[in-house]
Amino acid sequence: MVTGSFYLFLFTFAGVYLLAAMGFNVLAGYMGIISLAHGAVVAIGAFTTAILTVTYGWSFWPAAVMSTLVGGAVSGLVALPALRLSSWYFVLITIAFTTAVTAVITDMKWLTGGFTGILGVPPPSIAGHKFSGREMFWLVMVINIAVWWVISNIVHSRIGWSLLAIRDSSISALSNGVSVSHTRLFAFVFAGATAGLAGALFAVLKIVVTPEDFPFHFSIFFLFVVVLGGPAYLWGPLLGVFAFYVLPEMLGSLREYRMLIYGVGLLAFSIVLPEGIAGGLVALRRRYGASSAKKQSAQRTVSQITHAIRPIEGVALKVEDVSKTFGGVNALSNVTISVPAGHIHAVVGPNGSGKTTLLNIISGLYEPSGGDVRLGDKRITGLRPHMIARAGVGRTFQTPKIIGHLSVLENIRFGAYHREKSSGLSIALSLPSARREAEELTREATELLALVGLSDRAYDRADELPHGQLRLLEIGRALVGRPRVLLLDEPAAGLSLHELERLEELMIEIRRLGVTLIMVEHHVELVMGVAQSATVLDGGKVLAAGTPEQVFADKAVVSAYTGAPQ
Amino acid sequence: MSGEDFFALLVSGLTTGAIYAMVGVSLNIAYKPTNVFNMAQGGLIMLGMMFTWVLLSVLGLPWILGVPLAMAIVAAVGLVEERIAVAPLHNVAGHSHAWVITTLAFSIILVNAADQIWGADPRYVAPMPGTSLTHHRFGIVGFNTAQIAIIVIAFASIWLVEYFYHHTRLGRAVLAVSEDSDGARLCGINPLRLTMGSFAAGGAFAALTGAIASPILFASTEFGLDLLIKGFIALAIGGLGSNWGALAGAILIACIETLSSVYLSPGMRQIALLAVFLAVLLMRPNGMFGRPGGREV
Amino acid sequence: MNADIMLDVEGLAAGYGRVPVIQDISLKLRRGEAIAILGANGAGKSTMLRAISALLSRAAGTVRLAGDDVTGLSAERLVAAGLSHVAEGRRLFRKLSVEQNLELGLYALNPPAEMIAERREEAYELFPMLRQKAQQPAGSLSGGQQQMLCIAQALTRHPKVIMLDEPSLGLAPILVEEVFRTLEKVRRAGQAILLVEQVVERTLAFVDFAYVLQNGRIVSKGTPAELASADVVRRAYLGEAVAVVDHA
Repeated sequence: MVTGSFYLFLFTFAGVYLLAAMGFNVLAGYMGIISLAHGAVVAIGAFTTAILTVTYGWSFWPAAVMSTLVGGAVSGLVALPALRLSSWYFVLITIAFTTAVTAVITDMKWLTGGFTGILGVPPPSIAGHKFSGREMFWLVMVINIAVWWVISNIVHSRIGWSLLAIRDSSISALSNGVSVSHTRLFAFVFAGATAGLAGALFAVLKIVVTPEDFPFHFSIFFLFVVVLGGPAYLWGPLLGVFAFYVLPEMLGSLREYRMLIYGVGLLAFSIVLPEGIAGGLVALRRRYGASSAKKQSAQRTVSQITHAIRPIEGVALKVEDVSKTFGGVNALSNVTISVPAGHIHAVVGPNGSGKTTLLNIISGLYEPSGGDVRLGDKRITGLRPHMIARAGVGRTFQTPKIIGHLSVLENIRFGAYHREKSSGLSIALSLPSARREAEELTREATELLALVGLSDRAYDRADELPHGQLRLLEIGRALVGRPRVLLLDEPAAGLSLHELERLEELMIEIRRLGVTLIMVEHHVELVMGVAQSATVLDGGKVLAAGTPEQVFADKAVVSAYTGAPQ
Repeated sequence: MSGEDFFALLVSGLTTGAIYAMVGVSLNIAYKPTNVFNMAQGGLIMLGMMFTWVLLSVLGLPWILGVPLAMAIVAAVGLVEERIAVAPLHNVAGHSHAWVITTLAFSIILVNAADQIWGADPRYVAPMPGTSLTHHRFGIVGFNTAQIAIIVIAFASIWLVEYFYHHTRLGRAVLAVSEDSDGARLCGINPLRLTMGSFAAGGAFAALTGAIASPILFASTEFGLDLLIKGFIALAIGGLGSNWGALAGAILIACIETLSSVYLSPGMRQIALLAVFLAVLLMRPNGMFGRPGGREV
Repeated sequence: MNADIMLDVEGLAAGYGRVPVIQDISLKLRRGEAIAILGANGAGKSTMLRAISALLSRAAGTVRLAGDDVTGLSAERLVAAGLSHVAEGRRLFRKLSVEQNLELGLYALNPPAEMIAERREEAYELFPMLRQKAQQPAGSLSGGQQQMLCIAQALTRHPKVIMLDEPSLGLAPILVEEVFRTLEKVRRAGQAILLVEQVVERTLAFVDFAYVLQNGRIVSKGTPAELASADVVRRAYLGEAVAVVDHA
């Protein structure tokens, strides 16, 4: 294939673009950040290598390392506003950043040569042997394969799952113990590092680098390649680079209209095929290979529980005198609840009585205006949500927040995020210790999958599940984290009668494991059936507390529910 | 810097600010009923410039005919954008940032189609009739009538837009939709139709912006992105959705920009502007004059 | 088909995303009649109203308004066709004045200026305090006043059917009484009213017929007397194993 020098050159460049695009896929595809700064980071990487080799006489290898580091650092800086601002602002900021980078490079003549750029970037050499075009091609290929392997390890691990979780719902990521800001920063730095390295290779291949090599649409190109190739698919960037760089280059006449085609393609794809070419292929395979896939999934159905799940040591939870005001309105006033270890406790009350606010305070999504929350002896008030999750408080949501892109098993497995001790590096390099730990946790996840009754759907995509099963999936995911207290937010909502029975059984089983459960629920029969104690909230205050029988016989409670005079 | 230079820069800052303010207002027009930003607004302004050039300089139409015609054409383009890049996503729940990509894609199409047709060379457009680029002086204040015309038209058109929102049935319906879309539907207001209308109106306003800016900026297919950023920064400073806020924000950044041009190179100026923008966003997420609420864009 | 049936809902089902909330809802509302939908919170009452008024797309079912099939109409068309829905939570345009809110309430009718003035007078006669506050932003009104404005907004359209979602929510007892007095006047004028309420006893004293909703299905219906004697309402709110047939 690599014969004529045109093709050699074309495929070498395609490899450089692929390298940057793969990194960008981690940021834009897996984590869903729309950035138009990626091309500018490649430019910075290219100029770093050009300046270091030409002006300062470094050899390629340390210069490329430097480009990688600078790319990661610059991208990390760009990340800082992204942690606080909405996607609209962020896109605009990255546009402004990209135009500013080009302008600054043009400005700093003494360093970058201004418009004329830097000439004569030397090729890499080993022991005095300078790389030929063909050897450059192989160098780019080897780097690509290595980066591909690392990304593949990352995206099939808790790190990749946490990226997807943040993309779909940062709240669910937090409640699984993910530090959203650290993970975001990681994705930016990683993407920036690949861009910097790609820039170094770009400089060597071009020999001359000028600011004009990095026009604004260079940044759009990467967005385009990832969105169209298939965001959050490993193969996406490869398909994207091939279809939208290699093909147009080979059909030379198309080159002139490339940007126009990009625009039309971007528009058409984001409406018709939001998961890109790769997503489209997967969907096709699923549709036409449905029968064989089903057979396969039946064969791969995970085995039923082989040994009992290790008991969990539940812990008491105390809410002491907690208040919460939103803009002067009291959502909760002086609420005190004490739940003994291993109990199922129900929090009930009319709409707007503050039940979900209470759960959000316990799980750290809101900070209380006053009062304390204690987990056993430990005060958890004011801890960040992911730290509370790590301390042993799991939760589910009114509307299940799952990662639709992943399989059911992977979703459950993601619940073990904060239990996994392997470092990011050992996961990225797939070291034996990391693999062992991952296998162990996956085995636990399959057991819990069986416990919640979803074994036969283990390898289906989670967004194909009906609502009732999503609830069970969410409960399973929380359990893999081995929570000492599990918070359930309206677990019965939207369930059929049959599913309700299943939920009731499951809650009793979970209690038997030792977990302390707190549920917010309207469904009075479920509460009567499983709870040992209940608190009724009305207008943010505790109206009654005691056994479910006691509270539902309470006159004040009846009145709060039915509006009957007391 | 002498006093004369200072005032010359101030007048030119005010003029540029007036243009940026109109860019911000044109963004607001499409933002009101949808709560999303049209990334192609810069492209629409660029189209307004180019059509003004074609109609006035090439075809020789009088200003009073050519500019409304350019506005009508770009309004139609805005409507097409709404139909193909915005409407198909109405039913995709929770993916409002899909609109970032589709409107950006539309912008790429506009800019590159224009580039294919007209090339990137800047084109001269004569100032509007009755004004000229001839320099006048009063004491140490120097200006030309084209600059004055731009400032007057900007204020007048923003006032007109505000009048529309607060004193007409249709305008209030748009405000109603922006406050509570479902509530508006229960009054019989069709938000989708107002969205279409707003994209068309946003296109027309963008064309007017392009038309009055082209005599001093020259018409060029390369202007869209830069104007989009400036208009957006003006909005971020002035508070999203607020038209007078956009004006204040725009004049502020334009004055920073022109006055700093004396001391800073073009690249550094962009960095300085970016820094001001970030500082404002991080410290006052609702803008310098904005109030909390309605921040989620 | 009885010409007096103003609202006729058959086999209605709806939900959010893939979460089914209400199923198999059928009800009838006659001219000059007031009916209530009762049920615990989370039973699907608001969802039901949103599905009837087409704010929420329906999974199944037909809706007829005064004999005409309006199943395919959008929410805003339904308003023009004569169905007014006063949504929960006093949804007003808080930044706009009372007068402007009343005017927007008539948007569907595309009224000439004199008609706007005439209907506005009607609203002021019904709720005199609105006249004093005409130029104030709706957001500055008290909760009770806001509720009156919402009701006025809907009534001035002269709808065939008015649906109200928890108009008494968050109001002091004296204001709740005022809301019901107003509704009584409205009913006497021949208006058909569908009321969703939490205040069970007061609601049952007002309506002619009531449906009890539980877990998204109608579990019982009857006149207030029938429902009171069977104690179904209490059970619907407070449980105790009400038998529900699972159709799934």
